[in-house]
Amino acid sequence: MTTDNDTPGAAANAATAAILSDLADTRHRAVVVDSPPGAGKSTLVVRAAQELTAGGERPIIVAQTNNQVDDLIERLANTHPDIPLGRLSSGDYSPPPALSTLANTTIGRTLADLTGCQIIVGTAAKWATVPDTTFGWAILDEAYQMRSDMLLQIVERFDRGLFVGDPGQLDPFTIVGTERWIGLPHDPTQNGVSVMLEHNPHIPVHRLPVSWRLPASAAPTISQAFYPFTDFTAGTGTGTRSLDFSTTRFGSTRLDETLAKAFSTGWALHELPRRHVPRTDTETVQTAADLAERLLTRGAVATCEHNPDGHALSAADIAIGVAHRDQADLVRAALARTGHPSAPGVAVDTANRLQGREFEVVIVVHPLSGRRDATAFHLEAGRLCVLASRHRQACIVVAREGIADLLDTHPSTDPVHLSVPAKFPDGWEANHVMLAKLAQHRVAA
Amino acid sequence: MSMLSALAHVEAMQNMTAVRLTAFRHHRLSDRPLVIIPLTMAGEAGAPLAVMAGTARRDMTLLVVPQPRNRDQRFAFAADLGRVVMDYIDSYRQDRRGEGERSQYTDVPQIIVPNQGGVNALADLGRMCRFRSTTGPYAVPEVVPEFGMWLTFLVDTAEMAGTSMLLPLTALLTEHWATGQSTLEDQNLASLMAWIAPPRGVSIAQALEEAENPDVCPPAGPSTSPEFDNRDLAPAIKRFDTAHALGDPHTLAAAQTELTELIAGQVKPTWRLMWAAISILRSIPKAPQTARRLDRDCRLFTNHSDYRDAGGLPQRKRDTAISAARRLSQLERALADFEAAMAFDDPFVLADRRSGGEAFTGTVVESQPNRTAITAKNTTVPRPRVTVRTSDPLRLAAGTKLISPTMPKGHKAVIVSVLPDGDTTLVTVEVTAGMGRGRTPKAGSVPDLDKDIDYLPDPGWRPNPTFPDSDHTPWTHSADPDGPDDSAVPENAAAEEWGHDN
Amino acid sequence: MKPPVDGRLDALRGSSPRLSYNARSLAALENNPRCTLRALLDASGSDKAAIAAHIGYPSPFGQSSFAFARGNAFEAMVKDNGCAELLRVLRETLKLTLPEVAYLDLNEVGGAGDNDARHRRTTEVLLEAARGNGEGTLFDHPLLHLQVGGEGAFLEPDLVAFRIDGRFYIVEIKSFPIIDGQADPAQVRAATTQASAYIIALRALLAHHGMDTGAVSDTIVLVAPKDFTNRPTAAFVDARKQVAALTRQLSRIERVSDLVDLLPEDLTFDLDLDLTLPKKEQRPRRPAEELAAAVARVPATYRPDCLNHCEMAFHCRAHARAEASLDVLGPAVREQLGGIDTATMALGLARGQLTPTGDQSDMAAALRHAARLRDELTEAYGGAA
Repeated sequence: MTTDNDTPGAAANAATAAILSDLADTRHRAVVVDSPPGAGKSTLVVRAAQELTAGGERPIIVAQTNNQVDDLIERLANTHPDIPLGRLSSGDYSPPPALSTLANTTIGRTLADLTGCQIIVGTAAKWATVPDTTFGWAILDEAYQMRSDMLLQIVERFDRGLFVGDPGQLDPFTIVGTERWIGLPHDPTQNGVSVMLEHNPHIPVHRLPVSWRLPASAAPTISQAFYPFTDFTAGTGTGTRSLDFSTTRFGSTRLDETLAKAFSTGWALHELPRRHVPRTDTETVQTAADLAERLLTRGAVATCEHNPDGHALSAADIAIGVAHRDQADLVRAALARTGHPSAPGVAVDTANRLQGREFEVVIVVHPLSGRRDATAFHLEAGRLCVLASRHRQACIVVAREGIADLLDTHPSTDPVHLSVPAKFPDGWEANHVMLAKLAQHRVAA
Repeated sequence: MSMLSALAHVEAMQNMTAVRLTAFRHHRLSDRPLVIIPLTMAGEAGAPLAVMAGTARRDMTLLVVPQPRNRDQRFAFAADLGRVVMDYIDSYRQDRRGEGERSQYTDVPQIIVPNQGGVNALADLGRMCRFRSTTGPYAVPEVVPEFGMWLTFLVDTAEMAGTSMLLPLTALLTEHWATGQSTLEDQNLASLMAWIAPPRGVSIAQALEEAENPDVCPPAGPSTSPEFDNRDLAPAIKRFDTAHALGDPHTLAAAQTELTELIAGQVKPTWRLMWAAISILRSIPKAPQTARRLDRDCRLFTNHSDYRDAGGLPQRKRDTAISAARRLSQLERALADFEAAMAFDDPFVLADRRSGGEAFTGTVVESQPNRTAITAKNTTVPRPRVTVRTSDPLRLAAGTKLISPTMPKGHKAVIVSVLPDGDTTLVTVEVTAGMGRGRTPKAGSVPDLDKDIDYLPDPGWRPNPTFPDSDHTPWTHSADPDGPDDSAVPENAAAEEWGHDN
Repeated sequence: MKPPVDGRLDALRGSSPRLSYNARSLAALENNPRCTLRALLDASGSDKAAIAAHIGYPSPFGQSSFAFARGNAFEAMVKDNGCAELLRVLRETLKLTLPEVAYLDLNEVGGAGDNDARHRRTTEVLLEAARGNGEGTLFDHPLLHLQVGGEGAFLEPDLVAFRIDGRFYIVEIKSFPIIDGQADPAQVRAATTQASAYIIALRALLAHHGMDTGAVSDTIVLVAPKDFTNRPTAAFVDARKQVAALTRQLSRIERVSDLVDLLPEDLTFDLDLDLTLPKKEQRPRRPAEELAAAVARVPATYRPDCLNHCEMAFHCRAHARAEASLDVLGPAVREQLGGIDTATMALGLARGQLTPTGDQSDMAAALRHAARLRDELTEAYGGAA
């Protein structure tokens, strides 16, 4: 509508301004910000923390893992070296080197250790052990990863909350199989944001409209597959990002063909022959590792808005994402087998652990590859969403042929409950959307 | 499912015999369990049709509702069954041990039903009874609401891993045995028992066929077979209704006897099967930590018993935000503890974890028993290291904390490194606890060279979560935090509408 | 004009009257869409229960007369007096603002058996309503038409459609209870699947006449007994996922004609009934072995779950058992032993009696490790029961 919002930057600024204005509005007990992958969630958290501090508040920040807390502390300390920060930690926490050198950061086990700090950051689990004290504001980062019962343990620590997170990623879960809470607005196995909104329907919900991470080649597909009701766009145009090989291709392999496809289009489906295999299938695992090795060996230069003159890709710019922990272990072993000296520097992890992280190139072992059936776990939209939305340049999916058949044979079989809205996106539908996209970028191996 | 369990099922299928999955029985079996077989009427909402109950194979009570659609008969039945069950439960509310806060009953009741459907039927019955009023227009006997509250308590505990106050028999059996059929078919008690202990002189294949024939093996409930309903039960109920309408006591008695005999015929085969299964289960040695779990059962039982003695309200229809969160935390903890305890106690379960790379067994090939380290408080403590060679497909990473069933109690260690060596893996661990207070480890507390040792991850200790007080549901979890909490007893408790009779 | 495949399907069914899709066959479509045997039997309208019984695997899906009576009585009660109870729950439980309501039973048109006439009448009435002349009318027993596998099928009309605020809603009346707001998920799912088929069929009808398919809501209204009483209550069920899944399933399912083309020319599931006799006395005259041989020529995809859905399941299970197929053990075991199809092969690899092919080597190593562990344990504790 307004011409201001025509560029991605302007749209993002307008969204941020609206969020900050709601934060300042004392009528709202909470403000929710939905952030698609790479939409500047951390930037917003830092900005909001600073604004609240400037307004005389002493906000706390609640993150879900120690890594997330460390990352936030580092960003906060670097952006606002003048604000004294506290890191609330448990006894056996040892800070990473980057944190111990920060001048304005204090690490403490109790609030008493952190009395002089303007912003205190800790994991939800740690905040749950803090008794009595109540702060004016809490910023809850990755709030969709926090279960409702965890929110219940920390909610008395703050009067008002800014809930920030990505609704498209993996939902929290429980190993306990029980149906007793289904349909309850306060189902403790649901994420905290949904439960809070269920009881407080007038809380403003904002949405960050621009993904700064995903390239123009990926944003529309990810948006369509995983955020069907809340559109977002890429922050960069089609020409801004590119990948080029540093060497010409020597010999000719399928790996090169796949890499070339990914470099030129942002996507590649490296399709192995149809076969039912265990999830630890050596060929699949080795192929994922070999693709990373080939990328390192040939060398690539990534051009983007931050590096207009190009940046040589290193192992730290590459990740391999899988569904199961045992697959991650095997991929790491396979990387070692490639013999490339920097191969062990490639990040290999499950979707759960890759949440919130960002790389230039991501190689994904498709959760449904080679499977005989599609369980709810493997169909979960959030899992594929995390894996397919970590990259700034290109995403390469390794899969055995036959996933489309598998999806046809195993339509979604989630139980249906009374008065419970169906969860969207539906993993089965999302998988179909992704598959249709990948089919256009297929390289048969 | 692990590779080991999968293989066990394949073996069972190929060899046509059940294959054991555990060395021990991990659930306690009472010396005097109350076996209950509930039957419900098809198509009715939790309408009880009959129950057979008793604490010994030859001592059973059969209660029948001649016309399950009749409300008065339904609650008369509930009262009869309630008295049987409450007599049994009350017999465990006699002996207490300990003082004050720690005082608790020394043993707990144990109800065994054929399958999960039996648990669900008792849950329905509990829900139907616990809000009933003993006064007013639709008054029920005193025992009915009390019985309903106890049933609800037992059903709630059955969700918690490792408890044994209400158990479905099929779950006990499948915990110990793998069959050559699917999980779905394992829900059928007769099919399951056909694999484990087919009738004398009958092959497993034949026993399986009979198990699915309702004329030979009537279903173990709660549903009866449609053939039985249509062929036998429906005409018998009709005759009862006619006799009832005529008001002739002789015809009525005859019709009632006929019904009772019909139902007895349906339920007796299951009754015999259940006691046979219980006797087989008794012959399996119980796992060492079963005693610890009994202690938890005693605590739960005592708490509920004291709550009832204090005249507590019936359990709510649905959990509140805070009680749900609290229960979730209890259920998760119970499951994690139970799984760890099973692996610790039982080499079969440990092997299961080993085949998935989540535990390992190996031989000590290197040992530094006298290694020490200096703590943050500047004291020297023993920190021996040993290297274990294992051929298990290990997937545990450095830093994982371990416990060991092959070492003395209190032994703890942490993985220092994991190095592949040919087909095997060398795991170096540092012993961190269980060595006594001295500067040198006490004898036997560090694994010796050439010793075979098992390690599995330490489930660890977790703090009890603290939730807001139950009368202060915070704004995130309640629509109106200042308003009164919704009443525990629904207003229609006295007389839930019955609707039109048909 | 009839496409030739109809002739082939009629030949497959043989002498028996054609059966239409019902709740169970739709559920089977959803649960096991890729089973060729099921697809052919359903598409040809064959009587699966009679076929299974004749070849020695009587179907276990008898319905208790109690359940039947209860279902009918409950439905009748809800619909009594121009759906008075139905209107009450729509207004009280679901808080719908309903104007004066009319009731129209579409079953009373055309006479039983004449599906075409009834379908024409349904079409006429519903289109008229869609144009805005029928607001607030409850349409009982609308006979709709659905495309399944390229073939048309009439849907058994045992529900109500009504229109409010310009949208059609499907109402399902079921006799399983809603206790404290919860109902058995399996039953809710089956009811939702059935309703989804109606939603799709109703949308297709509107689309065919150039109207907006959005006028059919994908939220269904489930009416069922409340708690332990006979009084009805209602709940909304969000059917979006199932409508989407079933739509995709229906569009992607192999065309039945492709399946038919793969069959031997002379294949038939004919029971050879003597249709001159009264229905109750009709007995299959075709030799059972012959029919069994015909059924065995069509591939089936067996899963233990089929035992809950499909009349042919016991036949298929027997075949899977005879082949030592791991399908017998179900998905958890299959998942663990990906790529290995039979118990014989799994044990052969585990015991080192079979040499693994290249792609089996990982699995073989894992199996041998597991077998070694089991051997050690069996030695120490004894193995079999």
